[in-house]
Amino acid sequence: MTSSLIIVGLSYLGLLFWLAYRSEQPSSNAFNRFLNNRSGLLYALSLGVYCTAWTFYGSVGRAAESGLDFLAIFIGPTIMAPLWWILVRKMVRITKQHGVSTLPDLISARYGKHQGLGRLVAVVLLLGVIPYISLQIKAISESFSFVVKSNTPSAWYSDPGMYITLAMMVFVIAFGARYVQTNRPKKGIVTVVAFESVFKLATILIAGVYVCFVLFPSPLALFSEAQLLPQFSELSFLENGSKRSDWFWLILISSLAVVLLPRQFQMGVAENQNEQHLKKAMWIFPLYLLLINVFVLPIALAGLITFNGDQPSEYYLLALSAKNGAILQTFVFLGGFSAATAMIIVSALALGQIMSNNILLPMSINTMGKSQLEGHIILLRRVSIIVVLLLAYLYYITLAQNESLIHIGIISFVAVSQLAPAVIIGLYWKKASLNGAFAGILTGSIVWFITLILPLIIEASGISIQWWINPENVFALEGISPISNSIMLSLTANLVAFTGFSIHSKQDVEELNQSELFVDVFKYSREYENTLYASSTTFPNIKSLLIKFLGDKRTEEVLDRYARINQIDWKTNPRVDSRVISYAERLLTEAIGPASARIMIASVVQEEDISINEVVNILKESQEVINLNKRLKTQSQELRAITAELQNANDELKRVSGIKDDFLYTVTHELRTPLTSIRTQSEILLDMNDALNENERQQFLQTIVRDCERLTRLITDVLDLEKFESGNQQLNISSIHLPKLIGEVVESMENMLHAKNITFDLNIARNIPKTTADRDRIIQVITNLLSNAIKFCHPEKGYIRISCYTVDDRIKMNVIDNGNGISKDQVDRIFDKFYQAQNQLFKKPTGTGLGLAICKNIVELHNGNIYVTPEKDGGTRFSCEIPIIKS
Amino acid sequence: MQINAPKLIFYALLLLTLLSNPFLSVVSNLKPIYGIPASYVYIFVVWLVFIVILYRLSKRLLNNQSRQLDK
Repeated sequence: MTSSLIIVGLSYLGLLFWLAYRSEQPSSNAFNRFLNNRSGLLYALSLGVYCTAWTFYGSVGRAAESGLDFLAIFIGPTIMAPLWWILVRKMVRITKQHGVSTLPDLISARYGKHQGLGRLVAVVLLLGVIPYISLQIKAISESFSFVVKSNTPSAWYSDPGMYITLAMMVFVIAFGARYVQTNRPKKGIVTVVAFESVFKLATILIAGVYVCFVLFPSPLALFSEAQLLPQFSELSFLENGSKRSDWFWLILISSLAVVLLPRQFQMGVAENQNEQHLKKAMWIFPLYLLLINVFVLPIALAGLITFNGDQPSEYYLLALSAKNGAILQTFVFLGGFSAATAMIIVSALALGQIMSNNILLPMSINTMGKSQLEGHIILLRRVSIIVVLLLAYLYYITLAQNESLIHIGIISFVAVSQLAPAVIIGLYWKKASLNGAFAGILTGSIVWFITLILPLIIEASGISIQWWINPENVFALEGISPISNSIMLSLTANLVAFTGFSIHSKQDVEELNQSELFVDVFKYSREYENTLYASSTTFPNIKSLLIKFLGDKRTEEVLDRYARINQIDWKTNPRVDSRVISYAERLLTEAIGPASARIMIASVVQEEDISINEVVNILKESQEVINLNKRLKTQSQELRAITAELQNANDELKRVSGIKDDFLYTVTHELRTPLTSIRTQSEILLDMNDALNENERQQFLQTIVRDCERLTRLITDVLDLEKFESGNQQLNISSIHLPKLIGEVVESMENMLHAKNITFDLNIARNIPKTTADRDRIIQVITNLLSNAIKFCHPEKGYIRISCYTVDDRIKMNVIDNGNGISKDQVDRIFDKFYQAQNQLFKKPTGTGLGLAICKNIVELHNGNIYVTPEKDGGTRFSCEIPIIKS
Repeated sequence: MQINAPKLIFYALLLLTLLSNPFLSVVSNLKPIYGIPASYVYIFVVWLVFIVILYRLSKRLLNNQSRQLDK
């Protein structure tokens, strides 16, 4: 078993090396095209590095011991997920804009590129995370021993942990420390981490399905059997006060750790190549966390039922899978192995960069010669990776043996959460100062060390001390676990120190500049970046400095590109301004971090003294330029809107002008028809008076009179309409009773109804109240609607119905006929002027075509409403509503 | 629906509230559902629903809205 497991483990490592190597190849091959097309998914999956051996083995152990509270560590990141679009996107933008790629670099750059602060953050992260790496080595070593059923190896050469540490050193150096720029995308590592995320998820899901559906008949059967366990009720969720407080504090620190752990920062911020990928990660990563945890409790319960304490709870997954045979157990072992190696790779890479940029490089940079330093920096980074992994291994063989996986993990989480105030508040609060950041991180870290690390050291050394000087008991509150107590105390002390010192300390020029650029990062594009320094130097100085750190080839490449974009000729213009210096500083930051880059730039640049007031003025000017640009953009948008409005107004004027032309044409046409008739009849009477008999003369005269009446009616209607439309029409308001007016109109038109043999139906509701309106105008409306109905109802079996009733506070009158009905187009236009006249092409209109337009004006002047609807079985319904207004 | 920073913060706080006391205490005291602890079912259901909400939010975070958040 031992040899086969070693072969499988080595094969798996070989696969990782192959995968990383293939991913780093040029993107022309199909494999790389496949990866490039899924870069968003790869990014989201690479965040799964959050789930380490702690998740794989530790969660089962914790679930078996204390129920569901292991979930807090995964719910915290889920709660944080919606905020990534606000917080992580800002961090990504800052890292890209300022060339930083690690958390200490980001913090140091935010607080005036202070070397000491970067070093402090680096120490906190190294202290906090090295035990966490050792936890992974421990998990691999223990799981190996578990599978091969041997005790933990005593001889150093028989310990798989050591070999894994060496293999990881080679891997991280080969794929993570090849170039001097720390922010260069590491496609090989991202692909490997994403692959390992999928692999460990697949393993735990397959093992979970095996436990729930093969080892036990069903999950329900498993849970019912688990209810017989004596500890089942204890495992029920949040039973006592200590658990309850742990739950909240673990959610809090895990929501911070998911952004601030070096491996999460490396994958989530430094390796982010497109801010849009965050949108995909926002839901894929929480889904990943849910899936990887869904079988943890069933596996823990199955372990308790099956082994009843005979096996260590952290390795229940391995023990249960062994019941299926060696293949499943090996597969599960590889799942845990992948969870551990992914974490070791990314953490070693991140900590290596952190250690070299913030501790080793600043110590040695001034002692390095004038020659090219590119190779030295890469070497230093490789040495840092080796040192980090050796320290982790050292911790593993000394202290970590006595600690559970979960305990070491939480210690790391608490350590990195000490950076939260300086990072998160610092990105939104300009007053956050260097002194505040120093004080906060230092105070919080000291409390963390005293309450969590010191007890560990005391326990490991076997020293017996009085309970009252035991750091674990210092400031302990009743009902709160030592972990919750440490989180609460350290974060509170951190926050108080951070805000207190920030409020009471003054920022220097550099800090002021950086706080402005960081807090308002979305406002400042690269053209405004670091334009604060009033400094200058010569091009050869800058070039030789860049060559020293970046090498000849890269320096030529970046300077040529800059000159091309900004149209600068270095030969004719050897003196460079502050903008070029800022660009060079950013390039150096990518290689050696912001603090060292600042020192290096200062060595070749003559900086002019600049006062706080000058800084404020420069920032104001930058702000004004930005505001001016914004105003110009706004004004341009407003101008476009006004142009569109003018265009609309012009179109409206054209339409109105067209209506007016149509109106004039129709009116003159309407006038000409009767006038022509009158003139013709009059000429006949004049010329042929003697030839005509009395009857013929009478007939001609009657036609003349009828046409004159038509003319008068038309002119009256036009004048009426003009009055309404110009607002000059006055209403003669009096109290009216609508049913009575309807009766009067019907009575006056009874002859016409009889003449056309129309069946008439009058349907008036009782108790219709009186209202106030212009009596004559309302009669005009009723007359018009009724005469229209008479005109257009069925020519042989005519039927008209008038109904009247109240609706809420209005009186409604309907005039319904059984004519040809009305089309949709007519519904929309029937109240237009001359509509009837314009649309009766073959038959001469019997009216002026203005009646309905006048009716509409009259009703609307009474605050009423008139409309037309086609009847279902043909015919038309005109409805008119007027409000009930009591006199 | 327009997505802005306060809305994203609201959803984060909503999940925190739903997965904290008193909700969890109440659920913990409920009888098991088909033998499965009610709190286990509750946490995973809320978690899953929240993922669906996150999925919908991510789809609505269009480019122009990103610019609005930048302001």
